[in-house]
Amino acid sequence: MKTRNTILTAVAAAGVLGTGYVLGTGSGSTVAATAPAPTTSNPTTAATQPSTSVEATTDSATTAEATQEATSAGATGTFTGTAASHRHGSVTVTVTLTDGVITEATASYEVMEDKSIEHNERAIPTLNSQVVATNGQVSTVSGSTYTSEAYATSLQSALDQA
Amino acid sequence: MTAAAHAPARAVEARHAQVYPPPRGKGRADRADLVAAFGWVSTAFAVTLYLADGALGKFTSLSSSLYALGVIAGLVATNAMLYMLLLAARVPVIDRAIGQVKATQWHKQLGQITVMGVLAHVLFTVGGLAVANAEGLWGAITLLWSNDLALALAAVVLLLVISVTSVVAVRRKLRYEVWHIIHLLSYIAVAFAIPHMFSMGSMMLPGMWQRTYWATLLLAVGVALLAYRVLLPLYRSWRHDLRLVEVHRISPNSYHLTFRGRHLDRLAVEGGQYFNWRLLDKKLWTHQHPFSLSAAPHDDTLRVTVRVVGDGTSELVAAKPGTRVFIEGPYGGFTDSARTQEGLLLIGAGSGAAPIYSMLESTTADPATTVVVLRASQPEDVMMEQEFRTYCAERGIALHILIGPRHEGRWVNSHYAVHTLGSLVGDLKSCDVFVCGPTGFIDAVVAEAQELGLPDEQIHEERFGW
Repeated sequence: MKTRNTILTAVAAAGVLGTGYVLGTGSGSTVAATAPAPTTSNPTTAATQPSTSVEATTDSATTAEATQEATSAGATGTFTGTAASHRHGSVTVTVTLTDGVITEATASYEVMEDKSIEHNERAIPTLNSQVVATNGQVSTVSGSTYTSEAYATSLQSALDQA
Repeated sequence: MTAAAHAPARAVEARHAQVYPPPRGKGRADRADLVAAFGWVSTAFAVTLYLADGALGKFTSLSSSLYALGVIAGLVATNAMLYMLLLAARVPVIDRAIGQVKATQWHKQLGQITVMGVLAHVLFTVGGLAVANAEGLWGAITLLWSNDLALALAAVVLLLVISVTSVVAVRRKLRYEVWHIIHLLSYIAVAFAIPHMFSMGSMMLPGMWQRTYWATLLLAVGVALLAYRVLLPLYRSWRHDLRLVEVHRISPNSYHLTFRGRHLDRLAVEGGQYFNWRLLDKKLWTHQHPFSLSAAPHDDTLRVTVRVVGDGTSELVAAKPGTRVFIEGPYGGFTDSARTQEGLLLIGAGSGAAPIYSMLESTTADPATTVVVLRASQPEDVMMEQEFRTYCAERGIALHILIGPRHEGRWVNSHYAVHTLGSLVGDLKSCDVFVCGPTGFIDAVVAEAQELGLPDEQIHEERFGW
């Protein structure tokens, strides 16, 4: 290659990589912010992807985020369970209760390998709607046993706080 | 009009006849560099897509860092592989810009990058998962196991077989046909590797635009391969309906093979280029031979000159006239349109004389600044000697025929060791050197040309062998 062309190529390649870096650190910081602190038995993650319905403030390490009102009929507020780990990652469930009735359930998850994202993307919405429909009953979503079990554990810890 | 008015017009015409068109290859080196630059920038772009997806946020622990590195290695390997396939498609614009020598060289380098990248990809992704998994390596493998992964592993195995058989030492032990079939397995390896990219790659999930990007690239390269390696040769072979018309023995072991077809004027072919030839008779249809044209194409004929060196070539020259031939090509940039200077030095050894002759017949360079050098160990090894002598004598082109054993470490014969490229032509700096022949000979000529300060864009080579 001619020297001039080598320099032009290097500049172009560096420019392309730089653009990726700038874009990546922008979205990368949000990834870091939503990445749960490693308080669970699963210390490492290979991929982190918050589920679509999760709030940006979700912090799986905290035990409860109580905006609880003291009413006699039942608990009202938003409660986040502990992150329940399983073989392929962990699940953190957040439920909203109104007078002791679950009106909304969301969950975030982390996975150790990309393949599991698919499982979680499929199972978690099903589990969320199940919980709201049955007011807290979780049955295993077939093909996603680990995710379902961890979901149940985290949900229980959230309800325990209520 | 008076006779006086005609006179100056004729004078202008006469002077015009002496004007040779300027060389057309000035921009070719830049075009070749552009092709190379595209390779580098597209690699950077592949990594950038991953960076933009937040890859840096994944370098938080040993296992996730390893995994992310593995993904990057996989992306680089994929890009190199796609680029290699694009070169293998032999798109005419690219092929002519880079020429056969660079194409072979880049193919080799890209192959190495692909194999290294794939190995790093396997090592880092599995390693990363194994570090994080309670059951270690076994856990990581069970985790990843699915049909797509089994296919991807099969692709890795194929890739290793292909790369081992392509190492020069191993390749020499194989027959060309065997090696070729093994090499063709790389298309299957690629096909096996594709599913896991889309089913397991975190940046290729449905709905992500990276998925669209890679799918488009794969599709585009696939279409280019199909169009230029399959459909275009089929179409050309059918349209031009080339048949062997004459086998003419020119020396004890050399033969002219002449092919005639129709509409060959519509085939964009130049002297110095080569085709892959496949004679369609019962015995020969499985063998494909790359031969350069040994005469400029004219009157719907193409001619190659074959030196009988083995069973394959002796069967070839025994083929019956009238046999249909399947062609791939024309390929290569060893042509007059690659010339960057007014002066021209054509230098060939052994059967390298063939493309030199067709190039000589096609060139528009001034005969006064054209020099032809032929080298051989034995007098009878000078291919097409009589044709060269006649052609050069008629036009006043300087012709040097050097016969004798090669001088140690040089391209010239011992008797002519005082000669260099510079002493054979008046002004080497304003010349293009076109060299064709055995590898050692070409290397020696290229080295001497570079030593004498000739820039790379003025050195053109065409190599034999596979």
